[in-house]
Amino acid sequence: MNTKLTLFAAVVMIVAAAALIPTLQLPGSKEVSTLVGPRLWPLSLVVALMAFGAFLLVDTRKQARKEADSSMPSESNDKPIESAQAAGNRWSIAANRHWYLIAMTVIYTLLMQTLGFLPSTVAFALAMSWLLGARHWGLILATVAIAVVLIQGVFVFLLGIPLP
Amino acid sequence: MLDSFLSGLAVVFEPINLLILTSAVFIGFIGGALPGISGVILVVILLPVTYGMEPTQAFMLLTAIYGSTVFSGLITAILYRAPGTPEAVMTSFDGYPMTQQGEAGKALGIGILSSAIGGLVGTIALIVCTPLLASVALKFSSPEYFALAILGLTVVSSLGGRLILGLIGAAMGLFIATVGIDPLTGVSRYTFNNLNLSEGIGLIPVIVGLFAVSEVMKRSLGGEAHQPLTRVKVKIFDMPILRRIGVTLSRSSLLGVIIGILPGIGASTAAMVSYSETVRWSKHPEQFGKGAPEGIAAPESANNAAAMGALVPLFALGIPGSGTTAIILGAFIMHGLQPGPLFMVSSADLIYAVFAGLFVVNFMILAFSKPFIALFTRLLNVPYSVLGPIIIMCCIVGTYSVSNSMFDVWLMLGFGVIGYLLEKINFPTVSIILGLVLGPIAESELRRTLAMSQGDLSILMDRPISATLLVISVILLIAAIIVPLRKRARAKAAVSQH
Repeated sequence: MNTKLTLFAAVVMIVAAAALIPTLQLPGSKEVSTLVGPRLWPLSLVVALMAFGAFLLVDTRKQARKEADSSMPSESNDKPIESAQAAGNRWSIAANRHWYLIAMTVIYTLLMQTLGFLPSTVAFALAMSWLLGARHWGLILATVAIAVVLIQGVFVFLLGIPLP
Repeated sequence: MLDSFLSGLAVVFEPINLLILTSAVFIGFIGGALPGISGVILVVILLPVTYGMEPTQAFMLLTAIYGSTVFSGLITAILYRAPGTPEAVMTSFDGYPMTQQGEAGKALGIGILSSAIGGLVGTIALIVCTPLLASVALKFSSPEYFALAILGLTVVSSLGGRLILGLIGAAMGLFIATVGIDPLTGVSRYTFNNLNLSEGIGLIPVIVGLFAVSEVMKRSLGGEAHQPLTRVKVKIFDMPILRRIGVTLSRSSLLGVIIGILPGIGASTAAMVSYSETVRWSKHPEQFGKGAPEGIAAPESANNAAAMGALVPLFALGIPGSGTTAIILGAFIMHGLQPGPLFMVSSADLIYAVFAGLFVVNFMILAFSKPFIALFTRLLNVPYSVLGPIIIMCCIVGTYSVSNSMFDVWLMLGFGVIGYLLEKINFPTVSIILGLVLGPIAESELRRTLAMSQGDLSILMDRPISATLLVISVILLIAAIIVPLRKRARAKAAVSQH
């Protein structure tokens, strides 16, 4: 957990530092007609984010050192040294299902714009229910049917919302 | 007030609105029943759907779902020691032992009745306190509104996890809210010449991405967890039990309302405090944790009362009392409505219809819970391979439908990935929503305050109400820092003693 928190704190500080560039280009109080310009508020937030990020970084490192000194097992989610088998499973579908899910969703979103809603939804529901573990054709087809009827029925017929 | 409430009831009893409320109660029940769908996710998924509805009906639906999901968390807590919502954690302490002793029906009956009574007390407090608080808040000016926004942001202290993460989340949300054209000067901020960004980053893509998409990603890694089928016969009105838990119900409901109204404390804390108070006041504290009826009555009445109490600052002051109410506040803004003291005057019809709806929902919970529990044990076995694809599609179509924008869909997916990664460090993602919702109010009111005082910030401390609100905010934040430190010190002392 400490490693992840350190990484997060560093990302917050880097992003805040990057946001500082466009923020400083915003007009200040003297360049606009209002007493307070559009720069003050976001600038304060960027500075606050940098300060919070720095605090988190220092605090997490301090905690990591304390845990190392007392050689107490941390309440972390840090993974122990992986076995060869675990390393082999790293690229399996089960271990990366969430990333495949996002990749499929991105493809679905792209297909929706080219193929249209219905065909892409059928393909997506088929693929996604298989990815999430369904192996019975009955269950997969039921998911497709429920998805199409629910989305088409609620959004198009009931609410009159045009689909992409 | 009574006239307005009665006209609200008349709106509720229109057939279409009764149908909406009934659907909301069932949707809320299912929210507690289906694996991977919580009350927050249900509200989030239905937000885009409500965009095409009349505001009164939309908010009757959302608030009724909110109320009934707080209730339905008790079912899994009692039957399987797996609380459906965080508010129901304490309920499992005595509910599950009763199930093990073969008294699941009795435990569920106590839980249902306590929830309905707590919810009713909370709704009455909501109806009485909201106009009173709003009438005081009518005297507010920019410094007070800015102080209120700051007080609203202190909800981060109650979200669990490390306070610093909550503060980072709130600052991130406040910063995201600055994207777009500055309403006071017309200057574009962080739009990078992209027209899609000129109106700012919408609430829907952020909320749906952070909560629904990230949840599906997380759940996709787990296997299918099936619960054993349990047959129970629920008895709600059991006079000897009612006599036994009567005092506990009254005390816990009142405690729940008070805790719920205070911003940043929440229904989970209300359940914990009322449970510990009930143990303290009990003549038989040794029975708690082994199946004491009061151990179910106390947290259930308190959490339902607190859930309603948390709506008081939302309607009266425009600040959320909890994480879910922050999302409901976002829904109001999405519909072009800004809760607060003026809202009580300008949209009284809508507000009292919502209040009346919540009042009726408590009776619906009593009426529908018995048949639902029979259906519920079967719903637990709906596999995630059916739910997951449907949730993702609802997220995409729902986000697209709000402004017919594919850009919003891409944003939503991006926030989904961010939400998933943030969950890895136990990040309180609601804090980002709090910042996003309260950001525009905080910024514009601060700038108006500074314009009023010619740039002198001491105006915030010169005015009694804004000073009080800011002092309360500081106290809440300091308490959020000190309480865990004291707990840690006590635990350390206990370890060294052993």
